[in-house]
Amino acid sequence: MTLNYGQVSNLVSFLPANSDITSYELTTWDTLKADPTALSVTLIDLEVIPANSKADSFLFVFPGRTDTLLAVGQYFEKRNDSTYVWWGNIGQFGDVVALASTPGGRSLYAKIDSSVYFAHPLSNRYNALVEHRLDSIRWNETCVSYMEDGPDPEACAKIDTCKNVFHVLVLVTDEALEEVVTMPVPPSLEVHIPYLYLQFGMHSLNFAMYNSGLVGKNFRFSMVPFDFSNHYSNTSNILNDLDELNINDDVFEIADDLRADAVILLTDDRYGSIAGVMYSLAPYGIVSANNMLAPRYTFAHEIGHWLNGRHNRVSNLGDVSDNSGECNYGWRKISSNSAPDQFSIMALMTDNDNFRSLVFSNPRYFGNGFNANAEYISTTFCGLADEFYENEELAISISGTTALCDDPVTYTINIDASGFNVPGQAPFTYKWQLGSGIFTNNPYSTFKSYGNTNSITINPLIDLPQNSEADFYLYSSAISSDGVFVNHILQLKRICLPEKPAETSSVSALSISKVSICPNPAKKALHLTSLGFAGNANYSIHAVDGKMLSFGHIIIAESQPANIQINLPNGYYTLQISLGKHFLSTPFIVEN
Amino acid sequence: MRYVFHLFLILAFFSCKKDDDHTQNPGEPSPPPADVYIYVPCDTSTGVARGSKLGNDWISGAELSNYEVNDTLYWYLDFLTCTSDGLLREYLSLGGFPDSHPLGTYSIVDKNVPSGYHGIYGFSSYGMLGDDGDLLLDFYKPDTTATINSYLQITRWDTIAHIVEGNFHLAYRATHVPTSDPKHYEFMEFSDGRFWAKIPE
Repeated sequence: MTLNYGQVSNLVSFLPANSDITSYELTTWDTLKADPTALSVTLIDLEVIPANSKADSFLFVFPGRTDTLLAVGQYFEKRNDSTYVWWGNIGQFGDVVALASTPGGRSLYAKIDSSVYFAHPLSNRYNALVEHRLDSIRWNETCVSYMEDGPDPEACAKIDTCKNVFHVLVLVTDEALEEVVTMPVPPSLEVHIPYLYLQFGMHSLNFAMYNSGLVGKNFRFSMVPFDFSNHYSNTSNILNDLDELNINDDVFEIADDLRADAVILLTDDRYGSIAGVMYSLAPYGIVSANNMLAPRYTFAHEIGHWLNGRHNRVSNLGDVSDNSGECNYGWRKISSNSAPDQFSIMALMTDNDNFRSLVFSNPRYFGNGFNANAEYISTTFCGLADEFYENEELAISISGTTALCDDPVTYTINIDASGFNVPGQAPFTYKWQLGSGIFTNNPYSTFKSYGNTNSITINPLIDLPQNSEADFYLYSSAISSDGVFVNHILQLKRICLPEKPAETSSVSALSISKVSICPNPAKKALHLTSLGFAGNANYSIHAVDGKMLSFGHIIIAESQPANIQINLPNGYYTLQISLGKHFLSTPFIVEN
Repeated sequence: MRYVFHLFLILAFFSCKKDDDHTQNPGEPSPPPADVYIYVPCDTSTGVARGSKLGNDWISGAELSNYEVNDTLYWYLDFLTCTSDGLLREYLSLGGFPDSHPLGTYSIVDKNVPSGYHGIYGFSSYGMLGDDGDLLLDFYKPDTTATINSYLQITRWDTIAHIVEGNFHLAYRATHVPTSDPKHYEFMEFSDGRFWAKIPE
């Protein structure tokens, strides 16, 4: 059997959080072990791949090779928020390496000179070295490389010098909100949160730009409730509705008042297979709220069109000439005999198996003499007209260390105030959200919400899961008194755990005989009874792949059982409890 | 560079001519076909439309649907063309004829919100799309200054065979002057149009 690149996609596709690694182990891994060409390797010195590692490089040492290989970062893919896949080029002619990091471990796949190297997080066949290097790829050369006719100093300069904030007016219809509120909400999240979902959906655009290396370029949003019900065409014709949006006096008045650079109407899924559309000649678009987040990111996708983001070249089923230099980013798919399929934020969604990545660049294109660099979008971004208040618009940043250990850390929203008479004036209201998966539809990944204050303190011992090394995201937003909404995300890294839990419950001080759970299988709640233990305990519930689904605090007393409310689909889960220095991990089943 | 210049000249000439007189006068020889994009029908299982797009043979899929206004049922047609890969490229919508008396000729008026038709007027719009069909390149509304008025004629309404047939002539003007592509024109015309479509059961 020979591994090909089509199987690479399969290998990394086991990584999504809801996948069954055990099942994977039994099938794919057995197949790999039987592959005489596959060389098992170990990942050493590779911690969680940093979120911005697109620009980083890695040094690889593989068994059987005398040379060390430096892979230049080409593409950083972030999947389902707790999963990171980094793709790099090694050598020429399609040699490639992929690194993945998940709560369940790290994996590596490489194909070099026809040899296949593979490390699986659950395997003990590891014996190789991967070193994360701090030096990054050379941006200047990258900038030059995408210029078909040679370097363009002016365009390259814009990559670093153009720092704009664009203002998007988001008209939120009742239809959009109704669609959002039907999404599943965990009982622990009392404040869900249609607007928070919409805010995350909007901010996915900024995150895609961040992932693409577009520092200093940002969008801010004004969310305005809007009744479009009398303006929809009776024929559900999205083009007519977009035209109506374009000429509607009320819309123009609001946009003019707020000095918006673009307008997006958020609505429901009324247009069937069309989830969104953007006008190429005017900054107007319509987006279904149902698909603002993973896997479609329609909001970011349509705004990407406004940024002149296009799709494929003709040779890859697109409509951009192969000889054109106009489309150096945003390619939706590379599919050939020598490269795996990868999808950017501008990708075509053909079925549910596909998903877009929050990045504008083509994942790893290295054919036809063209490079596909997200930096190109910087130029088009700079070319857009910031109609109003350039450099005078409301912006925020978060101060506070990104490295967390045991000590509480205070984070503060810093306001870069609007100019005089520019929308975005004080006073502000604030929102904070701490979680691992804020860009998915799964609200279970939210750890904690904070109240309306511009400064919060995160106590890792209380606010974070006690047994996860995965990175977290601190999301913040500020809403001005006149309705301007801006947001920011800080990626937090857990550099140490307060107390490393034991690998299995059998070696824990707290045994299942001293704390028992019932019923098992469970439906809506777990009841814990203890024998000889009492106190405030932290608990977390995990999927079979280790992804944390929820967590909280309970009081364990001998006199009465403690209840943990669950709202989970049928399946196998693990309950983990930490009480002081004691730790318990026990599986349970949900059968609704 | 020379090619680009020639292309510009051709476009400029065409645009000026269109501005002066964008429809053919009776008795004049037919103008040469314009250089336009011709795609393939998206889905012909529910109907087909044929015609001439600025002098070029044009064919699309057709689908008949209905909507209600003030308890009155109306019908409309969507004519769609796609790339060979199935990506939507042209979206022509045409209709506004009542279920009660569908046969007849309907003048196409420039009205974007079809809420007040009474079987005399019809509506239409035409859009050209790019990429995956989610990027509106150019949008057209009925050209009220055209020499030949736009119309939709329903010639057969057979509720037993579930077939509707008819003819059309449609002249449009872009809401924004196209700039992205010289093969997109400010004025668009579909002449000698005819269609059939299934009446949904």
